Amino acid sequence: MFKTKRSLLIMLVILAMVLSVVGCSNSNNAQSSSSGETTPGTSDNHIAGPAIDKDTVVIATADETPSLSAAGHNAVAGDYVNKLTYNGLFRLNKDINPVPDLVKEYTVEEDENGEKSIWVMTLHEGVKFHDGSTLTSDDIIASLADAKTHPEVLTYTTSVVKTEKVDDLTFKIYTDGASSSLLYDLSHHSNSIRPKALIDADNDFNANPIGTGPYKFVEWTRGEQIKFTAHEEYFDSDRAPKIKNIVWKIIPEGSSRTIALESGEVDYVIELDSTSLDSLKANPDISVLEVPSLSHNWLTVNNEKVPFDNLNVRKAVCSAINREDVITVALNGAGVATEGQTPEGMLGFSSEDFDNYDVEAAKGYMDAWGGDPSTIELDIICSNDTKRRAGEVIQANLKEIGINANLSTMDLATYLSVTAEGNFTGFIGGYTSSNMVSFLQGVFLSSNINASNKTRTANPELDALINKAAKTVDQEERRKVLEEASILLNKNAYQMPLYQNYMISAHSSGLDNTFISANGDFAVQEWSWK
Amino acid sequence: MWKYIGKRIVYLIPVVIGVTFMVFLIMNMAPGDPVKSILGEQASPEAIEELREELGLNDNILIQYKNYFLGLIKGDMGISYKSKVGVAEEIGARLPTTAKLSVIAIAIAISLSIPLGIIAAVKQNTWIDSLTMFVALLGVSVPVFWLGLMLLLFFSLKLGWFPVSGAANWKSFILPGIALGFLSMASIARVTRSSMLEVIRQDYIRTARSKGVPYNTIIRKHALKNALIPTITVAGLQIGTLLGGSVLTETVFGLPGIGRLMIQSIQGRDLPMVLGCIIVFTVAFSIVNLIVDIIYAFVDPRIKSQYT
Repeated sequence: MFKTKRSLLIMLVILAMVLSVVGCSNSNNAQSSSSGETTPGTSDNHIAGPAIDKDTVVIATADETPSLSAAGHNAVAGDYVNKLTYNGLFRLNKDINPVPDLVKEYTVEEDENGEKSIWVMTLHEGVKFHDGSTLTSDDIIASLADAKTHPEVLTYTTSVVKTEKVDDLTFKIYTDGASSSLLYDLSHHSNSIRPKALIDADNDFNANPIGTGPYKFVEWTRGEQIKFTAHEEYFDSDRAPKIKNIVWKIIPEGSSRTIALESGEVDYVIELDSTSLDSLKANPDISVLEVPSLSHNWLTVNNEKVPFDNLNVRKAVCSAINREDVITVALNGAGVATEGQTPEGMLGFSSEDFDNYDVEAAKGYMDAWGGDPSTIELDIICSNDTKRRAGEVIQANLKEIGINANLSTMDLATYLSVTAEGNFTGFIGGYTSSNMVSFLQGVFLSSNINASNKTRTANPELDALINKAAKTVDQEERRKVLEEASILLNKNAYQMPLYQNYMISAHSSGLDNTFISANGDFAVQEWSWK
Repeated sequence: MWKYIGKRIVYLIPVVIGVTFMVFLIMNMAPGDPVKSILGEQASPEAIEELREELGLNDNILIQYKNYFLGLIKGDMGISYKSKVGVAEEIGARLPTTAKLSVIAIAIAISLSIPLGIIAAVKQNTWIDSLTMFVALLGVSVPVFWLGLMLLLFFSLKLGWFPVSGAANWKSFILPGIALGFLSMASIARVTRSSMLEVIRQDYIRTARSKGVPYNTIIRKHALKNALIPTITVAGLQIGTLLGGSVLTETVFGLPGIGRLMIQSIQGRDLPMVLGCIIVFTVAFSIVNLIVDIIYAFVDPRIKSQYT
């Protein structure tokens, strides 16, 4: 018995010694963290610990890019990192309008039909790729042609019909008639510019992403982090990177990302949980950025199925939803109620004839329909917790006008298939786009039924307006056409818009010159430490 | 013994074929299209069709499986639909992380659970026994996910002792190892306790005590070895639980392991990657079971004689 006690005592002493050694060795690290200074290499925490090196910024994100190749994916997570290593001919500015990037100047010429379809562009001189080669028109032509071979980004490469070299710095892009979407497509990561020599040599851009971007690729530890370092010869001195090293960390769990930011292990969190918002706003060491996004979220009903093919039923459902309640429950208040069938903030938005929350009006529409609301079968598919919470509010709202809705949950892959194929009565979904034309094309164009047109809307008048807007280069004229389309959509209530959620990011308050635009874009190269 | 080991390794081949075929079938029968997952909401019908053709998804399922299996025989596990990276390369990069995590977790679990189980048995019906079994009950009840976040809040945020995420150094594996090992520790401790209780009531233990052999010697030399067989069985089975539990642990602690990779691949219907992960898990689990059987032989000479 005595020996048992002695063994236990020895074990306890050893345990206490181990804990004290661990504790002491790390208390030093904790101290250096709070003082804000440390010498690289002197601390165990240097690699994964608090990011206090002012030559480095550590960014945390939930999802890992599927590829570093610009044309090999259509993922938002990939778009972020592509912007570090590549430039496009154009880029979207803070107001989400395309502005020249590698292009210095451009003009639009008329073709033989009198349509403005020939885009003559001139490049900045002396732009260097990461491998030291110099950018020429040949690289543009090769890059745009290569992008067209990737089905992942087909949507963004169709506006370029033909390209032609004029001289080393000048080239022409031909579109199919006038095109309002070309400059937006050229701003998309899929059309990023890469060296012709590497494209011809079949370079694996996923392993060796050579571009002209502000940062050069250093190392990718799959599932963990990607490292970049500043491109010293970046062509745009006004937008040259101010912080030398970027570490792009993958932290899938929202709470863990927040803890990492609070502990100083990361400096910037891209996607912040709205549940962490209040505590982070109260923290003086953290700055929170929030902006209403262009992401339009809605309850969709299948317009091909009875009774949702009836306008009065759709308007009744649209009017019955209390959007403020949906935002409170689903998003913790981090969003704005939609006031139109198209995203507010985009060119051509209109709230005219939109069915806002009004229970009496909803009941009136149901009376006008004349059917028995209790016979309506509406199964609302949700693919995540946020949508499920929104669905619960909608379920209660619809009960007020006599509709019994059911909620069902599916994983994302199943949800995407089922909704694209039209095997549903209703679901909660959304669509994010950088401009109104591509939004309307994706969500409502009849040729996109069985793909992104999930309401299964087939309205020839609407199709004509969308196609007209796509060919209207003049912005003011385009605005009028798009406004007409928005009002037509409001009148028809093909779906029941809910909210535009906030884009929320947070970062160490020591980081300066940060912003996020309504489409979630941010420019790492413009950041600096205070 | 070697003949037995060789036979068990050969048995792995039909197991892998069966498992991959079942997974292939289930993934193809499950709703959800990998192409739509890759292309997202904005996909046009033309893009969907073009990518389906490129990935060979328009072929008959049996032809797809035949092509996959022929590749597998040559050591080619295929290319990920999503990242276009070789499955073997991706798994090879992540395997060490999951292996380290599992080894640390099982080491923590075994090193704590066996002494706890023994002490609980020896001190049966005392407060020590109650406390030990309370900890064990806590272990099987507390979700790994929650425990992981609590450990992060306390040890990483409050004390700053461990990093929140990543697999940069040994420190990165301590908290995930504890979170993951706690679950197994509880199960092994309970089995060790009941097994020890059974053994120490045997006649030969009573005889040893009546002959005046010191109690510690009886426990260490006579009781423990006989009580270990069920413990080894449960510890082996726990490796399977650890592999499953590593999915959540790797997510909370941002560890780049195979568990997380497999879940992401299932969500994205990335069939070649899912199959690759399943093969690794199947082989790992089979090897662990084989090791458990070999350990039986060392612990119990009666079992060893059956192998020869």
